[in-house]
Amino acid sequence: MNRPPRPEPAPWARFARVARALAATPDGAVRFGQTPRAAVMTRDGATLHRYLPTLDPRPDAAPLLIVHGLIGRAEVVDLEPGRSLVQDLLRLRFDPWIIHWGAPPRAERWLRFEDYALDRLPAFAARIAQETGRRPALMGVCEGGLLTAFMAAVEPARVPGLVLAVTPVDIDAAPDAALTRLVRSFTPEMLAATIDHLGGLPGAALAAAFQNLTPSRTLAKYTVDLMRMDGRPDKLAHFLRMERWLADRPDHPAEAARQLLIDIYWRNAFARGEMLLDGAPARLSDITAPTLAILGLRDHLVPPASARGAKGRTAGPYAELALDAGHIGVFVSRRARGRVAAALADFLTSQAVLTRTRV
Amino acid sequence: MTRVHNDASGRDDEAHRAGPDGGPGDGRRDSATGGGAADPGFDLGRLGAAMAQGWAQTVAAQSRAFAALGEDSAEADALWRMAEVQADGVRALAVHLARLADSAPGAATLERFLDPGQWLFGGFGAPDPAMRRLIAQPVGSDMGRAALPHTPEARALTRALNRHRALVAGAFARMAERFAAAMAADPQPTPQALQAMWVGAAQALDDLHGTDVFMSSQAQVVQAGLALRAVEAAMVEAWCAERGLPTRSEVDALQRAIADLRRDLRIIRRKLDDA
Repeated sequence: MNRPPRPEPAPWARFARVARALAATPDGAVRFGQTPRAAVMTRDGATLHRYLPTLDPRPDAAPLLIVHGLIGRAEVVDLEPGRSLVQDLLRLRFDPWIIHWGAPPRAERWLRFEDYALDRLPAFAARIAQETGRRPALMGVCEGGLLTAFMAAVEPARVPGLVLAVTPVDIDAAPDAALTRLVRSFTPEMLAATIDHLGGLPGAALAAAFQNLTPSRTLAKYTVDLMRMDGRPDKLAHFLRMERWLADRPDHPAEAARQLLIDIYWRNAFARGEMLLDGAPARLSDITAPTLAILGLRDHLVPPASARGAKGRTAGPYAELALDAGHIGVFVSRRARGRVAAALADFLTSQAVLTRTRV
Repeated sequence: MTRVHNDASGRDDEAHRAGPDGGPGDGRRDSATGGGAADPGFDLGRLGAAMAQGWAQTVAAQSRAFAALGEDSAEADALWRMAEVQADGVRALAVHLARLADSAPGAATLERFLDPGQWLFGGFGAPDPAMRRLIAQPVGSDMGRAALPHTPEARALTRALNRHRALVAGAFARMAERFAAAMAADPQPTPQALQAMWVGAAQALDDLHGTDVFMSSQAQVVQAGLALRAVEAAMVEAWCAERGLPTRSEVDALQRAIADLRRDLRIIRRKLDDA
């Protein structure tokens, strides 16, 4: 016999229930990046961590160094149990490592891309090689993909495999992307002056800029979406964990911000082969490592066309994994669950990558 | 909603509400009203819907009026400042209640959930603190900045802000008009449908954000803010230099020298390693 549908709660009762649930959710229940790891090395404020294995790592796989960009925290790959690329990799007996760039103060405003891609990153990769006997493949996330690609271009022998996840490689391939139009609505001179005045790109300003790209979505997110969750602990915990991750944005160093907004977004210098680091060219065509691009088909921040910009431009083999997900959804959505880990498993055990891991 | 036909006139009489499961009521008349003529009753739902529609039309009219104020209008600037003060006042209660939350993201989310501005405008146009400082009108006369409010740069920022706010006001007018039109098509929506109508009407804000006009206006505000801040920074630098205090540009130069030295060292180290 069919039960009659539950009565719809009065809106004010639901509002009060949601508000109480928001207040009562314990802080410990909404932390991200909880997979155990050990700090192995620090260099100028950045730290290299190794995730503690739950099973003996496979001897026939390259270690993987995960490199997030300077916008937001690296733990998008380890948001929560059930939505953690790191835990998926550990279950498959791979050896993931991760870099935390820290929170550079204004005094560090002169840090450039090369300070990250040609100093800290190679030093950390060398340490992994020393610890494991194999050079690590690099997986760059968003702006981190640019940093890893730069290293692969300038020091190709040190990068056995390159994974570019939701990375803005070719900006001109998607000129109508909201972020591209926003950046290009300012002249390069204005962008430089804004960055100079602010001493960098404040994390909170970046967060506000992203939210303002879709004002109706922002209006719905903190109102009707919360009402729909109706205070359910599991949904609320996931929501608040994401909010914590979104809010935890360190300030972006000024000089690197100029390179990102002007060289990359305004001039599309990397895709055009015009990117200079330490005065020398950093070209996609100099990348010899096998490349795997991971892209979200519903990514409105880095559209698929931009994320597959390495295709046909590098000197090594190219493959891609396209997911029905958004920018962050490639790591946290249920639709994409397990698929990134599976693709990485094939990549890290491929002969094309393994032969290049020898120290 | 149950409709009970009046047998004499064929007129719908919506005196009886639906049952708790949304289905039709039993159609019986309220015995308190006695038999015979229909009781018009007091329909809170219809009243609320009418008020919402009226409010939307008022918002549309006010937004259009604001959008029509000229860029040099002191009234526009004063109205906006008043609105900001009122919004801050309303938000103060939300901020206070949010402190009850156990977690930091819970407090931040609760603050937005309880803020009427979030329900109405989604925080649209509320810049973060760094950007707010960039476009803030100068106040006070410390550090030799007494003349700052009267500079061409300050006036240019006021004009740019007024132009930008007029654009935004136009979008809110369209949003309110869409909402009013949706209400006219469904005069007695459920609370969920009402929320959906408002969110749907907010597409007018997305439409504005996608336009070159909006982006250009936004860029002009930032440019005007930068010009004013440059004048302000020059005044502060001069004040500090006269008193022998370190200036921003001196500290920046020092930090840049350190960063350049470290970079040179890295390049030398890499060349030695390669050799």
